[in-house]
Amino acid sequence: MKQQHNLYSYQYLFKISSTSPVFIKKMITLFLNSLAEYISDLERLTTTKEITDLQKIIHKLKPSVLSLEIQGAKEVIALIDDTKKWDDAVQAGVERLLHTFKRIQPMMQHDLEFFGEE
Amino acid sequence: MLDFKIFIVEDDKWYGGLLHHYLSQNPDYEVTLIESGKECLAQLHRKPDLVTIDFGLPDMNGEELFKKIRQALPNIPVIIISAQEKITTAVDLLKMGVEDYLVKAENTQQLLWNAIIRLREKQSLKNEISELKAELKTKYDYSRSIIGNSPALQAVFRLIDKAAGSLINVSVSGETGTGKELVAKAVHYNSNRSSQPFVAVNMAAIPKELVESELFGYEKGAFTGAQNRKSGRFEEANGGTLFLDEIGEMDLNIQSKLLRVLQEKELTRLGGTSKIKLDFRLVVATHKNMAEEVKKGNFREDLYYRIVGLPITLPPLRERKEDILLLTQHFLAGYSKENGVAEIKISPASREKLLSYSYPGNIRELKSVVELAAVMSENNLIEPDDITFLSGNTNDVNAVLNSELTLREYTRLIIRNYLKRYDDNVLLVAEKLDIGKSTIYKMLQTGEIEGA
Repeated sequence: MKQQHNLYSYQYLFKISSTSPVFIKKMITLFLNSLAEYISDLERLTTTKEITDLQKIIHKLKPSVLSLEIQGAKEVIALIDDTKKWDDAVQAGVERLLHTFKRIQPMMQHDLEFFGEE
Repeated sequence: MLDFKIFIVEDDKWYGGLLHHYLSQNPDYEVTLIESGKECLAQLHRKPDLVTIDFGLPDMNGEELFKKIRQALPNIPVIIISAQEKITTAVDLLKMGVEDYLVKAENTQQLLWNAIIRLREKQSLKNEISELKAELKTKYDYSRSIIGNSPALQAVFRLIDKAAGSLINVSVSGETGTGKELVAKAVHYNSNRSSQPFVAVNMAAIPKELVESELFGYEKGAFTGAQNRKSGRFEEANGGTLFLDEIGEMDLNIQSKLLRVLQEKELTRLGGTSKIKLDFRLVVATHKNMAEEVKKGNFREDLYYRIVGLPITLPPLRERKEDILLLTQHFLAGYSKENGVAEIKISPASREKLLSYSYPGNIRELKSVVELAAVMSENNLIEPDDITFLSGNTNDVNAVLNSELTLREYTRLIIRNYLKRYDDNVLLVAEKLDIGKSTIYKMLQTGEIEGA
């Protein structure tokens, strides 16, 4: 497990937790619990294309996703925050988020094991 | 230190957990994470010291929850933490009374930490102010702050009581050092305006050319050097009491402006155009005989009748000799407390000496005499030699009588003393001493006596 990662980073958690593994493990668990829900909601929205619902979800995931510095998330969130309709750029952004979320899910699960061992 | 209870209302478990962990690092904070607006309202009986609310809660938005908290616990500070950065929302909420509005960002927890520190400092200052106000009220409880049992002073107490119970203007007169400001404060701090400001202005202490701007305030650019708008003393006293000391020194031009303010209960700042409504009680004080000043044309008659309100005349100390020893004991107790020394007593001969003096500087002079005697005393006992009268022995009746002067010299001494007391008003002095005015003029012309 690395503090710095290409797809995400725990640097912020380390900074505010005084490197408490219990706290970091708790925060990763909480994020993973929400992540499954985010993936399911975003997948549904790629079909319904409801921009208001999308913005609500983005509002919810924004603090954790930004704090974990999830790759490319900052730009997609800014785009969705500013837009008023579901266009191709939004569609591409959501798909990019989904792709990243699905990739990091098993990686973070693995990180949890690392913290569990400490 | 007592625990500071913080409710974090946040439906995002991740973010809530982050704030909870961060704030819990302070052992003085008891932090509770709450996931909905309804649950927060149900927990309010625990009386939190601070509530932080996520603006976008699923069951009610931050504004709605804030209003409900305000209804239940009007004094609990609320901080809104929101992912949205709309300035209008933030401004609206702050106008409604929200303590702070923070946007969810990387450093939010640090901003929140600082906001809580500021909040606690503010609360601590508020508590301190309340305590000081309570202390002030006690301090100006006139039965404790104005010392004396003489019938003359008891009559003053009754008048203070009457003044405090109404909104009437009050005019306090009395020689220098008789405690005019103390009476003004006693009226204010025993009235129902005691929590409002008490603003004291000494008219004799403000340069003539600054009086108007000091009293009325000014707008930016009203005159050279007016770089910012400034409220005047009238405005500062709004809701409370304005004490104008030495009102007899007020320039005639300012008198007419003061009259207009008192009649219209509003003013316009220098260089301004808009009228500012005013509501204050006026207490004025002077050592001069105002009726005389009106007769002489130095004071406007219409203003005199407007400000005279309830007149309170403070007797000079020489007319309430029975209070001298009581006051002496009071000053000695204060001296011992302030200097951390044992109780200081007065010998019987010293008592006699203190009682024999006329104290032209009144209580202020007695206080200085007593404190000096306390410093000079040995073995915590004041002996006559420790007592020095500050305005010289010429005013000490016994000392004067024992000085074996000629009748002419005594006459000169008495006339000089009266002229000093009555601001060189020869006619008044002649009337008081029941002698011809030409006697005094002649002595002045020949240089036998000099004016004050």
